[in-house]
Amino acid sequence: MTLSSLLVTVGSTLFPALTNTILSPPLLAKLSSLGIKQLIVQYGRADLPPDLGIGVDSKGSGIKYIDGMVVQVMRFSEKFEELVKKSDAVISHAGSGSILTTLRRNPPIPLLVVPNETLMDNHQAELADEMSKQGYLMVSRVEELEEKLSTFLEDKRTEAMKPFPEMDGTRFRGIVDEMMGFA
Amino acid sequence: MNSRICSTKMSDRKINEGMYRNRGRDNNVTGIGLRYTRTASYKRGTVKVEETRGKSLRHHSSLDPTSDDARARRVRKGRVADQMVSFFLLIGALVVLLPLALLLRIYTILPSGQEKTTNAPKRKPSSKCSIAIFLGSGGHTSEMQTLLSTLDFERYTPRTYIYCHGDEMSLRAIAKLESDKGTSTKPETYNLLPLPRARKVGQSPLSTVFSAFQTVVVATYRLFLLPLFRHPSRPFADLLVINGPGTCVVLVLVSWIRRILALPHTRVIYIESFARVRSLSLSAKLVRPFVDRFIVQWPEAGGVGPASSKVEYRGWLV
Repeated sequence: MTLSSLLVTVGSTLFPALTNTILSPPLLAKLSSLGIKQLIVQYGRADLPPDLGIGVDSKGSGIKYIDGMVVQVMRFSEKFEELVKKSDAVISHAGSGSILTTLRRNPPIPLLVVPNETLMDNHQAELADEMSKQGYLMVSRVEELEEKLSTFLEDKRTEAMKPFPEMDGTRFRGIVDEMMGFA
Repeated sequence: MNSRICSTKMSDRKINEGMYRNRGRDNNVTGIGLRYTRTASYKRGTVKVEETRGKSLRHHSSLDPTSDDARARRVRKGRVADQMVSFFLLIGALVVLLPLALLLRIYTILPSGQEKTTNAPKRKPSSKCSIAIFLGSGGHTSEMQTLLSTLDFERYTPRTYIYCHGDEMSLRAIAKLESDKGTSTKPETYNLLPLPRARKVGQSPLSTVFSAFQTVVVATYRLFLLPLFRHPSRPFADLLVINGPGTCVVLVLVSWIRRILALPHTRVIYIESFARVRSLSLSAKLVRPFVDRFIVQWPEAGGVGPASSKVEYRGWLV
């Protein structure tokens, strides 16, 4: 199964280094050559690169056919889970929400995390590194993105990922019940 | 009264005469009486004054009268100075002792984390426990939403959702939680409590002081004073669940008023974000000594040292 639908997300953050790189002509050409047919870029608080040529509406959404791909851009998404559900692979900033939502998708899909290195308190990079060490996802710096894409989007990627455990709902409930004298 | 009724039957002249006479007599009597008493008291007063003056003059006649005045002034001044010193000593003692006593009180009741379960009163499985939840927007809200979804809402009721003004995302999260739990048909089991935000992202330290103060005032009123008037024996919630950011520090502060006063108080649990792998967030560090339970989701997040003894790791909770 080839991965044909790719979602790039930065949540509610400002991360133009990632969104501009993905939407640059060489990267778009690369994605197209790797078999991507549909690309969705949720670009958050950044501006789109001016030479991209995608007209956007008042909400910042637009769509264009580039290099044989349907490229769809949107500023924010209230239905992030649905977007993840429609995708075959996700490239995300290192926000824990995006990471958890993607890893908990059923069936699982590959996740490439690009930490924002311009953040002052970069604890997010620690999360991405640790999760990558444990084999749940891949990490890339913005500069390495082009070379890492080939590995990330290869056919066997899904099998290479370690499945992320389901949430254990008894843990938090147990702690609270015990604390309040129910257990 | 009587004389007036009678006088109505007399002719005008007679009435006038009678009234004049009456008035005249009254005036005379009272006039004399007044003059007499006044003179007497005046005279008595004068005599007294003269006597005391005479005495004091005679007594100190051998000394310089001006030095006597100065001494009296000095004595008076000394007395005022003494009073001021004792006043400031008292204020100083209060300023030093009150905070010391407060600190001592706080120190003795700091939750150590050792008595995790031992001091929790046992509850019947069927009993209810009121809960307050702080939704801190963004990632904090989505993690809290996940955590809360695992709780038994029949048991943890009523629920008070505390969030910051204008936080649409948290409102959506509350609506989703309550509808998923099938409790939306019973709106009386939960209520909403919006607060002014203590600190916005990137806000300067000085303006943070002002906005945080505003949050403290509103939170104190809504979470301490109002509940105190309604049910003095009950805190605003039995349990407060927090996971950051800044505004949750204010909630812990307010929950501590009842604790310091030795009234039945809210127990507090802090859950550090799944995103914190090797370090704690600022709000986590601030509230750590004051919460009853402090949970992290990565084994190394709590660090090392004495303060870390309180930190609990129970695996991923989200």
